[in-house]
Amino acid sequence: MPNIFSKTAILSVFKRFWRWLPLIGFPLLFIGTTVFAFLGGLDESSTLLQGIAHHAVLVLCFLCLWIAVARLVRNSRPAPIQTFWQTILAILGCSSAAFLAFQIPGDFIEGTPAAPIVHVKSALLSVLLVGLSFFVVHRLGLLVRFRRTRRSERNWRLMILFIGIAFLITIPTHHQFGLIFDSPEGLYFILLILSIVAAIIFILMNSIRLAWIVRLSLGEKGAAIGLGVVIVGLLGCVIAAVNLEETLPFIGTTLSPPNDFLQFYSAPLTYVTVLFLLFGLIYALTSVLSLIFHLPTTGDYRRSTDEMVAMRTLSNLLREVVESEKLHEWAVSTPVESGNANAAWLTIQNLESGSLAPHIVASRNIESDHINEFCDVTSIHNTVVQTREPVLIQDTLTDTRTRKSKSGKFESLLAIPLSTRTEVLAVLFASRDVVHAFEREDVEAIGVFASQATLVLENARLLESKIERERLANELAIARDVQQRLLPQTMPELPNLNLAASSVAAREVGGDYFDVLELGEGELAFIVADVSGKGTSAAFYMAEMQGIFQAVARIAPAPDVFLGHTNQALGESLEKNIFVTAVYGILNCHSGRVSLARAGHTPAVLVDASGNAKLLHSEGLGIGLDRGELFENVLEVEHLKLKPDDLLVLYTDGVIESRNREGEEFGYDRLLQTVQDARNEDAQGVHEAIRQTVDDFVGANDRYDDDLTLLIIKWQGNKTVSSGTAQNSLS
Amino acid sequence: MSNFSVAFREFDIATILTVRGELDAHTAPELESAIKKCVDEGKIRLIVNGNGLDYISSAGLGVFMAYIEEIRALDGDIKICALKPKVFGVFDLLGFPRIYHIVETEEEALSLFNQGIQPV
Repeated sequence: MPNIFSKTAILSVFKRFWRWLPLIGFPLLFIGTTVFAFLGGLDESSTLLQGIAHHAVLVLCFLCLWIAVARLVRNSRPAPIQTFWQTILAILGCSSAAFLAFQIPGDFIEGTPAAPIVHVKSALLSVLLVGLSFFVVHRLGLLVRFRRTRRSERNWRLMILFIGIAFLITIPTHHQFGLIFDSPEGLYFILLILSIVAAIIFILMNSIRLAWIVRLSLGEKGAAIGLGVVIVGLLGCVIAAVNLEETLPFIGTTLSPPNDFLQFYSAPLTYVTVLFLLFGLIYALTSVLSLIFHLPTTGDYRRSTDEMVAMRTLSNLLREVVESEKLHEWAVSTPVESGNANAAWLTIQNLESGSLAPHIVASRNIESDHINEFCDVTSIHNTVVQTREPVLIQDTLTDTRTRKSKSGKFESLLAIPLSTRTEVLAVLFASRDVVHAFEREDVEAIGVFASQATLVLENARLLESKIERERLANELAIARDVQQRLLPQTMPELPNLNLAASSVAAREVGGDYFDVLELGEGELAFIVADVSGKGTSAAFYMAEMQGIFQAVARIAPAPDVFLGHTNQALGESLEKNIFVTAVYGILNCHSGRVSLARAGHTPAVLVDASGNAKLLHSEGLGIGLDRGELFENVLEVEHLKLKPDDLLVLYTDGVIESRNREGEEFGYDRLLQTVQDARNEDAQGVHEAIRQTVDDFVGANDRYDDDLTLLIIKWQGNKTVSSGTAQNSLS
Repeated sequence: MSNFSVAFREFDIATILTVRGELDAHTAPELESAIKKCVDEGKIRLIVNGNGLDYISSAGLGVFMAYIEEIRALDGDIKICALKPKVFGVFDLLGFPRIYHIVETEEEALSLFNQGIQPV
């Protein structure tokens, strides 16, 4: 259950009460005071205290009215023209009602107290005019405070304050207790005059706040002038009628003038009313005068507003991803919409189209086909591109590159480059239908559009190429993954055998290949191959090589047969200038027998347990060099019987040809030395030693120039069968 | 940038291409277009003098293979001479001496042309 005594609950009740207070308070107080007056009210016998009390109630009553009107007005913020309309309607409505109220029979009769009907009549007249003056002040106040600043806000409040002070000061002069200050004098008089003078000064100061005028179009200004004149006239009449000491002849009655009734109700209120209405009159007057003076500048303001709007659209475009067509369209429509040009078009030199002539990629208010009829677009475009400066032709008749068109639309022409720091992206043409139409401001404005458009175009272009780059990088990443999966993910476990391998591509994909395949009965086929060249094309042949190895090695494992088949199969698909080198062999893990053949590949390294190293340099052509029998005739198969802990190292030329900063190659000697030094390690250890040595040699920060592949095979000897003999040989 | 160059020289019945610098993936197209130019002009007896060749990569080796079939079909040949030992090692590793005449001097290459001896 909510606590109705909580702070927020009390506050909300108070707020609601406060909201309705003026709306309830005003009629209650107004009717109360009127009834009080009707029943006799104050008279000469009333005390000062009673008079002050009466006026305190009146002040409260009209304060409520003031707040109520302020809220009513604040709820809507109409455009200036509507503001004027509402003011006129309010004046007409209130003054008509006041006129009707004035027709109520009843008048002051000399020597007798005022009749009750006179009290009611005075109250009605007063409330109508006071309400009108409040409305006028609040309504026009919104115009005064258009684009408000701290100072304007202060001036506005001071105006209200001084009028309020004048009101309070005049209370004691009310004729109903004129016994006090019948004729104001001395300090009091000075205060009164000062407050009224201050009020009038601030009325004048507020009357020159007319910022709303510049935003109006020509038509709106005309309307505002008309309405302003009507307001001036109406308010003039109202003020005159209120102040007249004599009844106007056309009102056609013999009653006392309205001023008598207003003064009778409350003289201070009358002053306030008059001051407020005076403000309305002066403000309407300054508005009309200012509007008249601002009529000729309407176009300029409009154009600069349009320029700003166009600029904002451009800035918004910057934040979006847009196709270039849309950007081009936008670039040509901006100068036209901003009023700087009658027609515009954009030319771009597109080298990809194979033509040097610039293309018209977008045009506004003119057909692209039509442009070349009266203007040598290519020549002007090229001039602008070369000089990176705008070309301005003030009279198209006098320039050799332009002709006048029959339609008379193209009398002056401006061509502005859309240039980045390094190049001219496009040229923006703008034309006008009069000669010498482009002033410095126009050239500058179009220049600003051009630089903004450059930004947008460049942005879009960078984005496009970035997307393209990312797409390519993505594709290559996929290719790399696919290629990595073509390589063995784990090494087979075979007795006596210890294997390690790796392949690093210089680019995303490479042409190196290694693989091993169990053939059964302890036999293992192994291969290291290198497709000439690097990158994507090499990767395709590498994939083909993998397919051949996995298929052919099973059915034709012998090295000469396998490589012969491979040469035939690959030879047909290889480009003429591409070849593949390979070392292929089969190893029996029980016996340690190896058959090995080399097809143009870097020779395998064999290092035994005691550190003797040699390169297995058997004869053999690279795959693809000869597609006939020569390949098979040349190919030599080497048969080896491994000793326990013999190391066989297969690698690609990336290892040998790795260069250090001085351009020196890693070479065979370093490789042999590394393997010899690491010969007591297992295959993984040897592998790491080689990689580490190459890395150290190349330098930590450099990538490999070439794909780099290693396959290490360590035969640990047939421990189960020949461990005895091995021990024998040791002893 | 590129430290590779090819120079043409007509000598006797053959065209001698003197190559200098490093022949790798970047410079290979230069030699390739040089050979293509010769073939297009009907010069099918070519001697590549590798005296100034410091380095050759697999892409460089590929250049020799690109037009050899075409040239030999026209009864011409590409002969290679005066290679530095290190560069020869690369040719040798791949088995090039089995397919191409790789000789010590231009004169030897010329006399092979004069004798009409084809490899293989």
